[in-house]
Amino acid sequence: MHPDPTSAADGAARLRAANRRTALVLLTIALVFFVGIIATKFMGGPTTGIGVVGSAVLLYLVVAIGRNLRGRQ
Amino acid sequence: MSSIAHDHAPGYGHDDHAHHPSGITRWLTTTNHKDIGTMYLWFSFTMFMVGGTMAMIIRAELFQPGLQVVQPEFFNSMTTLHGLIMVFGAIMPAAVGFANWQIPMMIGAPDMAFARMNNWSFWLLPPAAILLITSLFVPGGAAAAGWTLYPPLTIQAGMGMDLTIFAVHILGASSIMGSINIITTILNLRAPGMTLMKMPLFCWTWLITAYLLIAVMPVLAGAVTMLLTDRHFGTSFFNAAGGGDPVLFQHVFWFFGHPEVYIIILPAFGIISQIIPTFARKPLFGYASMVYATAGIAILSFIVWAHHMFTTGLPTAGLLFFMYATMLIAVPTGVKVFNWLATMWRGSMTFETPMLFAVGFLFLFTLGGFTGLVCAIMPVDVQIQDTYYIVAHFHYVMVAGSLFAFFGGAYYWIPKWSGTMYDEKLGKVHFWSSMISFNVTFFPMHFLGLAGMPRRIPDYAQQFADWNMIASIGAFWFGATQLLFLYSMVQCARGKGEKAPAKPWDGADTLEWTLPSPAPYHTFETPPVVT
Repeated sequence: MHPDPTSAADGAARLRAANRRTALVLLTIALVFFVGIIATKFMGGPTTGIGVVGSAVLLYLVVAIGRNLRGRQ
Repeated sequence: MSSIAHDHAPGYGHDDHAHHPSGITRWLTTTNHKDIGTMYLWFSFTMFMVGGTMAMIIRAELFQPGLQVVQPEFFNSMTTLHGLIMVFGAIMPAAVGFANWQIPMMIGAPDMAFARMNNWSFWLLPPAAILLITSLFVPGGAAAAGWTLYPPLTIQAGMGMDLTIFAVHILGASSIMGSINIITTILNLRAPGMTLMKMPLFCWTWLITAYLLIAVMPVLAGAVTMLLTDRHFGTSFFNAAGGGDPVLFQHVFWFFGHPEVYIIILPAFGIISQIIPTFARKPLFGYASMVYATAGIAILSFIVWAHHMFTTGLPTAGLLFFMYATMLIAVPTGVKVFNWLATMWRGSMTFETPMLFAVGFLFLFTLGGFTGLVCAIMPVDVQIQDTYYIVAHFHYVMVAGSLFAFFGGAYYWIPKWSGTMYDEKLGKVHFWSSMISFNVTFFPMHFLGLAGMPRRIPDYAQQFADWNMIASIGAFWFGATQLLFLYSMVQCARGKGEKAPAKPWDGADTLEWTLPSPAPYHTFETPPVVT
């Protein structure tokens, strides 16, 4: 039996969209870190800045891994 | 591991001859993960030889006290470029090369999620390497402030520093693009049935490494951008003369720099976690705990950066926090070492070259981890900071850790990549020669450091002469030994040797071993079903 070409194309398009979405989220994180680290130096309070960035990293990892594990289950 | 069924077999043989450009065009324009993986691996080995040559210059100068071979300024450039090239040009690209080759084949994906971006990620590397190397020839010479690029030296340095900053920006962009690709590939392109907790551990370690890269490479880019604006645009982030704080750079740098250590070592952990079960002929002991330990190491890596700065005058509470947090990393790392040993326990072990490198890794990395624990003790670190003890410690982690794992990984997967078995006898000679010469080089550095010899100096007091001479002999021996590896890999690439079967290791059970050897140019265009 041959797979339906229309649904295969839909599937590929959905996959590409999902890939782009994932990449966009990751790129945003990278940009936030890049701009954030410079901005915190402008604003002063390096300890606060680094603390906030560190917490953001931890929170992000917990949420990202947790969501994926749950999603796969 | 669960049994695996897939439908590639009929008709896959002719994919070896899939249409693709030939000659230089193939390599410039390729979007194939295997081609790009190959380019990453050859690039990293080339940079390993360049960085290694710089190490030979360093060890030649340190062969005996006094200035014999190079001037102090050039010596400082050598230590700086050696560090930058080995970290960013050799070890990291090697890990990405393994990821490119293996991740799609291990999760049953046809290629990386963003194939064109994958090509671009690679082709950013050679210009960055050229910038770093040509910085030696500009007025003022190359950067000479150490790979950590600390101000105020880097604010005062010549044009070579600008080239270095630009190179770091390019390398960072390449790493971020590579990481986005790897995460997206793993999250979105896994074969049906390949749940996250069924993935080979190599994919898990790379997934976590890629998240680390996304988080910390922009921080390094931010730090060197601020350095650049301090140098040329009148800002004073780190320039004390304008009210800036040079120590602040250290905080920002090590917020990147310590996770970077795990970026370098986690893919190596992944490779070892594939090799040991194969040659012990047992499933990996404690798979889930290995995944959680890897994540634990990654998370902890963000809260230990100031252990690199114990002598900068941190408040006592800070010193204590960073000391204990650093010691905490021994727990998940210990879980991993225990699980590797437990995997070997009562296994039906054989010691082919990949397994030899894995066992060598276990022994030497544990030693390097233990000296790391010594360095974590703040009062001890105050004594040994910036001595050769530190040089010994991080070479046990970086060389005997990452590099040995990568050698093991190369021997393990080269039959799949090239379709040719490597020369086992030569591989074993390579291992034992590397193992002995590595220890001859770096073990004496513990004694030198404890005796007070500072790092990054071209000349030293007479009492350090003997151990330095031994270390230099070991370094030349270790460097020459790597030509055996080059010869072995070139022979495989040229198809000179015994033809490799689809599964040369009877204990291997991951998806790539279900493919013929060499792996066809296109694989898993129809996703396999993992049960």
